[in-house]
Parts: sequence; C-alpha cells; structure tokens
Amino acid sequence: MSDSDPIPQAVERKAAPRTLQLVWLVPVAALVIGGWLAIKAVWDKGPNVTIQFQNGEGIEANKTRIKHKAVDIGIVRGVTLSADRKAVIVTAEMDRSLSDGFLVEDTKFWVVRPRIAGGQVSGLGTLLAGSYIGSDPGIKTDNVQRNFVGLETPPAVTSDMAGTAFKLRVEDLGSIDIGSPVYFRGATAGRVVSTEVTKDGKSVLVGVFVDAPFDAFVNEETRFWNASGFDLSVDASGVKVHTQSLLTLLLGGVAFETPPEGTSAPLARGESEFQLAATRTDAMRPRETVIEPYRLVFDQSVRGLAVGAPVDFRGIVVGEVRAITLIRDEVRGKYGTALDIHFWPQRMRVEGRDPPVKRMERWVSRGFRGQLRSANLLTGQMYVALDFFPKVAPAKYDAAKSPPEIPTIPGALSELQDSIGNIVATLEKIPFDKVAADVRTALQTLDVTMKRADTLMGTLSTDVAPELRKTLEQARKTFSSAEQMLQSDSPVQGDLRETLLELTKTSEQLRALADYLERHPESLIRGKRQGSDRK
Amino acid sequence: MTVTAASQGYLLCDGCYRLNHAGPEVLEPTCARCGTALHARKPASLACTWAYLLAAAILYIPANLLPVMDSAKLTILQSDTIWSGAVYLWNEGNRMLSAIVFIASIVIPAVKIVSLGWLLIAAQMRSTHNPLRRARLYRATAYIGRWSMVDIFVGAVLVGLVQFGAFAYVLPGPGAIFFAAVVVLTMLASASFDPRLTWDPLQEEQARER
Repeated sequence: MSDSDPIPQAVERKAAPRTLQLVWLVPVAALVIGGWLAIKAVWDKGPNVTIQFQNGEGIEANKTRIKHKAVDIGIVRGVTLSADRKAVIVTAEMDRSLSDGFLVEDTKFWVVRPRIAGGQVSGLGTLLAGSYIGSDPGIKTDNVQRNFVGLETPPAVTSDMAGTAFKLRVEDLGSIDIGSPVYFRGATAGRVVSTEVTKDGKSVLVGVFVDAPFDAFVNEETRFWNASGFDLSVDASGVKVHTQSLLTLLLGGVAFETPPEGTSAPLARGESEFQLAATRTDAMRPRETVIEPYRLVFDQSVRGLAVGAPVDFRGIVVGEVRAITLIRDEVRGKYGTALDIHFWPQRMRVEGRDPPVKRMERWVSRGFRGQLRSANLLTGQMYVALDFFPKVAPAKYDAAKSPPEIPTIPGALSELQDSIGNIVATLEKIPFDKVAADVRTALQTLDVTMKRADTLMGTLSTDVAPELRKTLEQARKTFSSAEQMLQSDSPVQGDLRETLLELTKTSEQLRALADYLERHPESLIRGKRQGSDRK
Repeated sequence: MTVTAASQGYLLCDGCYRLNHAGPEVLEPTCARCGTALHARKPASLACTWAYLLAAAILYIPANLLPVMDSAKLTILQSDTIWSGAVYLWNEGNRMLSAIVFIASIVIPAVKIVSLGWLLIAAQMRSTHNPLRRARLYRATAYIGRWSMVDIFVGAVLVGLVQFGAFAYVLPGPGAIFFAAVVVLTMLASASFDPRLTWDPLQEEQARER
C-alpha cells in the first residue's frame, strides 16, 4: 500500500438491520434478580418482637442471637431503654419460618449468661461467645403476641421437658429456692421452679416440676413436705435424725410420698395444689376430708385461745379453731366472742349415719355443748372442749345459721369464778354492823355472867372446898379400913376361909347322904342298916 | 465549521482501522478491506449505556444491603455489609481505612452511576451546554471505574487467607456477587458510551447557525 492509495469506498451490506437490541436483557435480568431478592427479603423478614429485660448486660444490637435449642431463630436489632428508664427494651427480628407458632402469649425469653446457681453451672459457652437470648415456645398458640417480658433467670422447666408441674402452698418458704431439688424416696425427682407470694400475702405458692417417671407417683393423696435441713425428733425410742441429702442442707428441698392408704387415689392433675408440710411427720398425718364449720359463742374472755387451738372431745382432737371474732348480740345487748371452728366428724366415728344437721340436733338435745377449758394454768392457754353435759338446761340448735351454732356452757374455770362471785355476793348481804353490835351486846352479857361465875367460884372455894376436903378425908379412912379388911392376913379373911372349909365339908356329907338315900331309899323308914354298908 | 470525518463521509474501521469513505446513501457500510461493519458513531451507544447503567443501578441496592463477607471467630458469627464494615473500621479507629472503603466501594460506584446518567441525559437531549466539562467527567469516570473493585479484591484475599477451621474463617457473602456485577456493569456502561455524542449537537448547532 502507498500514500497514493485512494480511500476505498465502503461496501454496502445487504443484511437486514437488527431491530431487537439484546442489551436490554441485561437490565431486565438485573431487575428480575433484584426484584426477586427484594420479594424474598420482605417474605423472609420475620416479625419484629420486643422483649423487656431488667438488665441489658451482654445484649448487643445486630450481634446477639435469639436461640431455641441452640438454633438461631432471630437476631437482636436494637437495645433501648424503656420510657420510664427502668427496663431495657430489646427489639429483635425473628426468623419467619421458625418463629411461626412460636411467638405466643406464654413464650419465654431469657438471657443466657454464665451462671452458678442451685448447685449447677450453666452457660459457660457464653463466656467466650457472648450472651444470647434463650427462648422457649409457649403452648397457648391461640394468642399470638409480639411484646414479651423476658425472664431474669432461665426457666427451670422448658416446654419440651416431660413431667408435671404442681403448686405447693406453704406459710414460710424457709430455705427453699428456685432450683431446689424435689425428692421421691431420696431420689431426685424434679425441682422447684417458682416461688410466689399469694395475693393476700398469707402464704407462698411454690411451683414444683416433677420429672416424667416420677410424676406418676403423685396422686391426690400425695403429701409434700419441706425436706430442708435436719428433722430431729426425740421420742420414747430415742433420737431420730431425718435428712434427704447433704445438698438439701445447703439448698433446701421438697420431698413427697404417698401414704399407703392413699395409693389408690386418682393421679393428680397438673398445676393442682398441695399443702407443703414442715416435716414428714406432719405431712403423713391423716388428713381431714370431711370438715363441718360451726360457731361457738361465749360470754367469757377468750384470752389464751389462739387460732389453730384444738377442739377437743374427751381428750381427742376433733377440730380446730379457725377464727376468733368479737360479736355484739343486739338482742341481748351484750358482747360475745364467736369462735369459728372446723369440726372433723370422722374423728368421732359418725360417718354414714345421718346427715350432719340431724346428728347435731340430736346431740344438742342430749346436752352436746361447747366449753372453754384451760389447757395450762401457768401459761393460760385454752382450748375448746366439746362434750355431752346431760344436766345442762336444754338449748335450741339452729341449723339455719351459717355457720350453725353449737350452744355453749361457761367454762370450768369461769364456773368456779361465778360460784366464788355468788359466795362473795351472799357475804356482802350479811349485815356485819348489826352483827358486830349483837356480838358486843353478847360479850357484855358474857362479861356479867363471867363476873357472876367468879363470885360463885369464890363462894365455892371458901365454903364448899373445906367441906369437900373433910368428906374426902373420911372417904380415905373408909377406904383404908376396907383395905385392911380385905388384906389376906386380916381376921375377916381367916374367918371367911374357915367358914368356906366348913361349907365344903358339909356339902360333901350332904352328897354322901344323897347317894346313900338313892341306893337305900328304905333307910328313910327302917334307918341305917349296920354292916351292909359296903361303901 | 469544524470539519469532522463523519461530516465528510469518512468512516474508520473498528476491526483493521482502515479509513473508508461512504456517502450518506450507503445504509449499511462495511469495511472494504476486512468486511467489518462501519459506524460513524458506536452503534446503539445510548441504548446500550442506558441498559448497563440501569442494571448497575438496580444491582447497586442489593450490593449494599446484602452482606459481602461472613466472618466467624470461634462462635461469633458476623455478617458485614460494605456499610457495616466501614462503620466497624471507623469505630475501631481505622478512620483512614474506613474512608478508603467508604469512598471506593460506596461513593465511587454511586458517582459513576450518577455521572454516566447525567452524560446520557445530556447526550440524549442533545445539550450543547458546557461540553468540555462533560468530556472531563467522562474521562474521570472511565479512569476511576477500576478502583471500585478494591473491596472485592480485599474480600477475595481474606477468603483465601483466613481459613482456620473452627477458630476463624471468612466466607464471601451474596452481596459480593452483586457488588462485582455493579462494578462490571458500570465499566461496560462507560465503555459503551460514545463520547463523541457529547460533541455532535455542538456540530449540528454550528451547522444550523451558518
């Protein structure tokens, strides 16, 4: 080629011009991909929830995960303070597919941190990896919820654990705490999951969770007792120490057992309530199933009587005092103390005989009365006695009242007080001033009498005494003469003896004569025959 | 009047760079020497640029919203978007690095898209206003385009280097693909834009004035 080469003419092509510009496929593809991503993002975006915690320690936005069984189901998007600055509000985005049916009313959230409590160490993994929010799906799937209040401690029981929860009512919690073990015959059978003071503030409801194989041993007759610490008892057989395990000494615990007579009772339903007794002995005591409320109204003071005091029938406890109130009897215009008692009729072997109303009517007509008695004269403790008093005045039993009223009689002590009072009243009626005057008069009369007696005595000593002495001297002389006469060597004695001897001889001769006359009666006529006498 | 090759009917072959002559009556000229189709201007330049630019603008959104990098240290799993990475660096005290990431990965693609869009609109409206500035802008856009890839480059290096099994690892996130697509598309857009379109309206204006 050279510089002189002319610029060639371009050759025309006969091909049809392209109308479709393929380059537009690129933005269309981008749009499709972008749109699909956008739709997917919106679709996958799970619900946002807020969880309220007391403390936001360890929770970080866009970092802290929400997990269930260590699987991520959401991520914390924001951590802020509540409006009153008392709580931390955690906003979290939940995974759509996993959170379905998860976010319901009783779903629980808690922050998993390293924790040493109840003899257990948990959450050690969070030392390195940071805290996360644990969760437990609720069971009330009807009530979908988005705002939750997080727990401060991990729940002792999660929904996937097999077992049954029960409530125990106790007056004093003692050393029982959340996480304290529950024992069945010494084996760990569950744990305490909650403690909550009742609304009236009178008792504590302890929630326990009994694990699966053991919850079959909890029936309606099962007794629970506080197994914390020692149960030391001293009785006739010596000293007994009961304790569950060394752990309970430190942590407290609850034990349960079913008394032998109650093993056939139906299984207890979940959340049913039991009494938590202080000791095993208390717990295993037979329980009253039939309770009849009655009211006793006394006119006397009930000082020394406490709520819970026994109601006694001839030394057997047949009930207890539930309430003591002061009432005003408008009819009589007097104050009275009303005792509301629980009467356990089964202890009096009345079961299956007649309805309580009829029974009590019959009893009252036979003199069934309530009485306040002193249990301890030193401390002044009292108890309520129920008994039959056949001699009391008849009283009416009004079953229509609620609670029905058992008539009462004054207590033994107060009866005594009344008698003393009566005596004092009678004594007061005596006119002591008049009596005193009479007495004085009598004394004056007595004085005169005494003086007369004195004169008389003077006369006696001057006139009568010398005479008396002479008489006595003569009497002595008479006695000594008599004595002399009676002495053995006295002439009277000798004469007497001789006379007696004579008498003896005479009587012998008389007998000989009598004999002879018997054998020879003819001698009376013929006289004594000579020589024929062989005698 | 400024003499241009196009106005004189001269067309340069894009294939063998041979100068051809074709009058306006020739509708589909091809090179007399190598047969490549001849164009006075890049064919469908505006349409192509628009297409690439639109695609880039669409993909710019997921590129910034999706994480470009998933990193794990022990059990802490972390996904970072470009923005969160820049914020993280800033908070960590690496303000310089943060600024580089922010400018190279967020500002430059955005500026490229906006400036190309402006150039396109101006060309489409056959604007004669301040063509010199637009020419400079085009040169700048074409020049800085390649630097947008720095983020992808860092990510690729980290994914290759940080693989310590359970202790720490880095994986590319879905945003990285979109980000790379944005960079490529803006480069394509700036390549398909014919800067001569900026000057043509000026030519026509002068022709009319005469």
